[in-house]
Amino acid sequence: MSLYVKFIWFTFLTMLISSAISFFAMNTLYHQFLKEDNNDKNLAIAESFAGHLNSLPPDQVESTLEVLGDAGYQLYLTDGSDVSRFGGEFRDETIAQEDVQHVLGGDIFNGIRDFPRQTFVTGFFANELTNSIGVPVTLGGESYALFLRPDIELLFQELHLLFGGLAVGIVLLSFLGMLLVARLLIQPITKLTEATEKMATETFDVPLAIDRRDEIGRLADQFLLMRSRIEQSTVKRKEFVHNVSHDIQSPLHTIQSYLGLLEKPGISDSDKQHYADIIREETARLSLLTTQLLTLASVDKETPEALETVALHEQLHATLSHLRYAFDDKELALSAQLTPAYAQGNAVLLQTVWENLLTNAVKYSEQGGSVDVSLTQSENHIRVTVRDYGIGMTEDETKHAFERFYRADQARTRGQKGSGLGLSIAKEIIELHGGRIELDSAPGAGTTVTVILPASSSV
Amino acid sequence: MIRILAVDDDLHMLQFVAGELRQNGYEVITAENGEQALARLEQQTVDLAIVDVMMPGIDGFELTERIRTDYHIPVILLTARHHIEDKERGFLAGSDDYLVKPFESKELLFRVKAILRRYDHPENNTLTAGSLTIDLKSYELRSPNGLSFIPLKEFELLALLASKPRYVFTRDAIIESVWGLDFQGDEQTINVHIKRLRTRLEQFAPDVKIVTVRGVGYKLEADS
Repeated sequence: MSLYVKFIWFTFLTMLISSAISFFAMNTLYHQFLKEDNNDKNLAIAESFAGHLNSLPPDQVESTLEVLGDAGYQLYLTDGSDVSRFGGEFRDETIAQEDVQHVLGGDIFNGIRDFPRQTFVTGFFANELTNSIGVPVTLGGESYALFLRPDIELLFQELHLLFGGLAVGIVLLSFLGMLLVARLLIQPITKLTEATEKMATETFDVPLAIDRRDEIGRLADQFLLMRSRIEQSTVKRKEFVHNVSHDIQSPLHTIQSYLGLLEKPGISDSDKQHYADIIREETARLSLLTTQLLTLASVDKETPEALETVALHEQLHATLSHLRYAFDDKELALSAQLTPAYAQGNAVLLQTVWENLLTNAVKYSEQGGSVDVSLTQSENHIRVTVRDYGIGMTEDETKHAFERFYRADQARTRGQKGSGLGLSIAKEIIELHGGRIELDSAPGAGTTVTVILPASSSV
Repeated sequence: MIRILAVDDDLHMLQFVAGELRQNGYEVITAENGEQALARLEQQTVDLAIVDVMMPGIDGFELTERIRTDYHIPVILLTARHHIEDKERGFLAGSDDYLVKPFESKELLFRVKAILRRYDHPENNTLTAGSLTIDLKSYELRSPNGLSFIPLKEFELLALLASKPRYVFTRDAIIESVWGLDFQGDEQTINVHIKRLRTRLEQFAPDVKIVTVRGVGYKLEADS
């Protein structure tokens, strides 16, 4: 069922139910409180009529009663057997003979007050003899019983029309109003739905002109925000996949070509060695790329919520010891000044940062060079610097260094094994820990990477 | 001869590890799983175990535990994942060393040597020269400037000179002690290493100097 139909149904049901409740409420109110007042009011009128009739000469009685009937009262006059009616008949003229006899005997009949309470009958409108006032009158020496009630139909005919019109107007206009409101509410929702459906097919440019200040407006704003974020990440993801594919493909191509060369008959041993070296380098590159991709996936998954206090000096020392092989391989010396420092964070992720920074330092150092590592803690910050004296980077290269898959100067570092992901991973992890990472580099002078982390108060 | 136990359910990897170790003068026994490894250990004494983490049955962690408690020999773990998870991390931190696959044979040999060296010096074994402390067990240098790792050959050269301060070592003695008798390199090699070592000392422990004794060799001096 569409929202439109639901709105109409709800409106209809609301009106039906509220009408029924009001009807019963008013009926109850009448029987509980108004009936008595109405009875007394009409009793006063009836007694005043009776007093006047009693004093009239018999020849004027008939015309007076007719005038009274024309004035809007239903009158029922009886001496116990004969009946005369003025101002129209009662719809239901049943009445207990006993009641008539009582009135003839001089009592008053409080029919309006004593009219029985019925659920579906409004006592006020019941055109029945039992719903009248009976008073005794003496006309020409004879006792009569005069029953009367106001002729509601006559008196309120126009009022009926007015109220009826009002009710119909209220109902119709309410429906129209509800339709209009429903339209106003549903239209932006329909638009949002269409835009969402389009998004499923990666279409992000469906215009969405919803300018409202209510909840739907907020929803639309949030939707637009979300959509632009998803669009960005989709673009990024595609770019990423493109880059990854390229980075996987190019070493594979190299490997294939060199395997072809290796199969050629009559190649010299030194050539063979050379080809094998190239193949090894390329597989190493592939292997590094995949491990870095796995790391990236886990960075996206893990949060520093797995908080623990990490003794950075111990962690760095362990990392340095473990990477000793890589340092030795390039005959690099490493000096480290590690003052005790503790950070809150995810130890696995932080270790990845140190590994990435240190392997970068090794990668870009010259044979026999050196790398300096320092760890210091001030009141609020922990500072880790990794400095190499290697090939360095230009200003432009420094700017792009944290971008995924950026590798400083493709031509120069060709053959350097690297995934182009290390620094961007490090940056992501450090930012996840509320810190920042900076690069200071000059070609030929080497690179200094500085990591600044918020200090942990607990030790 | 040093005997090494290699355990891996991946046969290619096992052959690679065993082959490389044998070529470099170690005796190697192999096992394809934890049960086999424990059986081998009962038959023969072993100096070092190289254990793959991911194995069916008794996995690398459990095997390492048992080797540690029953045989007191060092263990190098092989792990396939670069990104080491929490459970492993605690374990690896306590292990003697670990290697992340894929690795080159050079790295494997480097780590094997380093561990065997550590186990050769059960007590703290240090040399001092001026402000410099040379730790022969961990192969680290310490000075008021902190901590330093230098390449193995340079370290051995420095340790040799520091073992007898102010004693003049001839170039031949140095080559024989550091590079071994079958050294094929030329005279330049030692010059390069001395030069590098001097630069490093200048920064790390400026009071320690390597002095050239013309026509004879080198000696180590420290300001007092």
